[in-house]
Amino acid sequence: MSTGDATHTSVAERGTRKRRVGLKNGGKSKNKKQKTRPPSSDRFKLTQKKQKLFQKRARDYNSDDEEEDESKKAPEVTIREKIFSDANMGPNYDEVEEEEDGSDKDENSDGEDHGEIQSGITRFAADDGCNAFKMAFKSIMKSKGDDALKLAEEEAEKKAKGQARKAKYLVAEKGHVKPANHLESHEKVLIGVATKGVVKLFNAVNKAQHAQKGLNASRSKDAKVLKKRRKEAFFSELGKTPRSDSKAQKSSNANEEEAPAWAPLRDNYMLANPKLKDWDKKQETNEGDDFAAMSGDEMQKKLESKDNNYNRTWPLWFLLLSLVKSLTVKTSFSAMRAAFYETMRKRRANLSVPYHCNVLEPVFQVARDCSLYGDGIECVQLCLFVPLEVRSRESNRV
Amino acid sequence: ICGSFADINQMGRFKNNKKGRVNVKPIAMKKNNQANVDHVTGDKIPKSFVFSRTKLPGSVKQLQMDLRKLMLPYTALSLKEKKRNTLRDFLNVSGPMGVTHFLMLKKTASALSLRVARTPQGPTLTFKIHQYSLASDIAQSQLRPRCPPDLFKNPPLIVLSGFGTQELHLKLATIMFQNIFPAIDINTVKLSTCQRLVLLNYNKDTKLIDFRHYSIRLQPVGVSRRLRKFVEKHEVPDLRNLQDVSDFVTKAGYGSESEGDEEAATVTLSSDLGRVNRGSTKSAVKLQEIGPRMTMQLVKVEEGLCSGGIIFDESENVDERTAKKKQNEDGDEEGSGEEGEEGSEEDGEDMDEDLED
Repeated sequence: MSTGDATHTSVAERGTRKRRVGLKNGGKSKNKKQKTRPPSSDRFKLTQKKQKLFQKRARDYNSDDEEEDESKKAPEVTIREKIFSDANMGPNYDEVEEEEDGSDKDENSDGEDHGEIQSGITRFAADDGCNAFKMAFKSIMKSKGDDALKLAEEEAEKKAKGQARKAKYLVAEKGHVKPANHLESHEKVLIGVATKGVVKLFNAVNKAQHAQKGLNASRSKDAKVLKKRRKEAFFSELGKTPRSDSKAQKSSNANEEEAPAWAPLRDNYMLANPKLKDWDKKQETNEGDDFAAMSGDEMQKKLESKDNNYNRTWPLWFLLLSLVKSLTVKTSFSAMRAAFYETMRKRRANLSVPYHCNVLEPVFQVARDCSLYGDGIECVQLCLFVPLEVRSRESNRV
Repeated sequence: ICGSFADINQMGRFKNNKKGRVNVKPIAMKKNNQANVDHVTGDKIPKSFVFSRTKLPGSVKQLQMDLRKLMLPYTALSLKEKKRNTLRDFLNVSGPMGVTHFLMLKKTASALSLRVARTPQGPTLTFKIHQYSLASDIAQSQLRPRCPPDLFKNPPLIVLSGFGTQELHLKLATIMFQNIFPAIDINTVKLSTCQRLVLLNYNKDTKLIDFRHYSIRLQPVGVSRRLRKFVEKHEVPDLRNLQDVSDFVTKAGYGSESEGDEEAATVTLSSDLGRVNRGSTKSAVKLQEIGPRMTMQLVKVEEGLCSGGIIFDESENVDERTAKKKQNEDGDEEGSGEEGEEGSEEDGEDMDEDLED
């Protein structure tokens, strides 16, 4: 058993050191001592040796060490193998027992480290081992036997959990579609629709702004033309009967142009604001209202219709306010004047209610004065109770 | 107001859109320097919250984030909600902050639903989302996803198509969507601010609404591709095979296949838009999809804010629906206003309050 001793000593030496996986060079010098093998177990060992050698080589390949390590590593492998296969061989443990190498408990760590070496090797003819080692491994084996069951259970649980998670994930992702190909045919159709809408809008904007470009500076003459043109151009762009047009295009109403920025000055202030809206306690539906109506006209229509329906007397302040609103147009005085005249004209037609006359007299006065003065706002300011802020705002703006 | 600020503090933090800072102190909360009223049209600018009351799985959370980005700039981008926040909390906060619309996502085992509601007591539309794609999915499927830095600085335009005028619930949906985005005034709007577009397309046969979100780009027409790229992106061209620079300029490039479509999409600009699109020349409008893509179906309309009488329910039969419709007509029109005005699907650029009723 000289070689056995030799191996034993080498094992013992190695045992004192903490085994490290991938240890390449450390065992070299130690194993130089072992170059011969017992002839009896040579063949058997060689086959095993070779197998393990290849595995070992694959694991610990280092190009520097290539030539040197081949022979040296062989005994290491076998020794390690023995230890490990001891650990793994449950039923065969006893038959191998006698042949074990003698080593002490320090080998435990080595044996456990070799987890990856397969337990496919059930036999070896090793003549190493000692009883202490045997006992140690026996105890380990027993505990590992129990663990196997637990491991199996855990695996089953994990599988079940994984499946549950998958199912949950699918439910969570339900409806989530990742578009495989950008721009399928339906998408192209939709983009076309959207593009048409945008083009219409941009054209309308451009026309409106283009028309507005040159004319804003000079007020009186152009403003009237401007207003008309704007209205016409805008609606011709969009099409006056929006119902027939199934494409989406709506732009801001021409009313918007006239409306001043300060909300109460606008014609629709009372009507739009939901709180104030119900002051006469009935809502009308103007479904057929062409949205092309102007602000002043709209106001007139509503007032007229309401007057006709209810024959109510409108509060004075409201009328004044409405007149003021129809006058305070953002753009220019002449435009305001035109609106004012329109207002007056229409109102004159509606003189059935006597109460209105009181209100309208000064207004008629104003109308006459306007033609004299040629400037709508200032005469209004004289006759009506126009808040100073309004006037200053207008004069500032224009 | 003190009470509601306490609520805000409790609920979470709102993002101040301008600076991206998050203010937690209640006093500093009002530093939100967004106008409540549009200075041009005088209308109240609609603001929205996008949130959910239930816990959302991962991709739906992304969808919620995408929707928030879509509603920018008039929304709370980093709205944080806690489990114990109820709808009442949101309502309390929405008053002082001037929030007009809620968009609520809800995911149940069977369906994903989006509720669009008008505060404080406006109607609620419930949409069931059949399919959705996230913005990131779409960006991945594109060859050159495009996201210029100030894309979300301005609110999007909205295009509605196919809704028709007959059915009341569709009309209501139209109005609701038009009101969610602020109106634009065509005389003063700068085209450079119209960079995004939301499309809602209704399909009568399947009763499904396609929801798409695009970014708008203007490209000059009639310029060869190489020149255009050179001017736009300052890509230095490769001239090694050319004898002369004139070759570069005059060489006829291959027309891309989309140039045929450009003919229909040509716009004449009134003013310069960026370096490339000069005024009074033709430019083509090009849309590229960004943002989430949804296919939804209107299933329920309720009169109140997630409560109240049911105006329309997909599962009911038609007779019931018409009866309830008549009853609740007035309730429909509160707050949003545009009922009878437009005869068709139209762009929600201006809310013309004049013509309501």
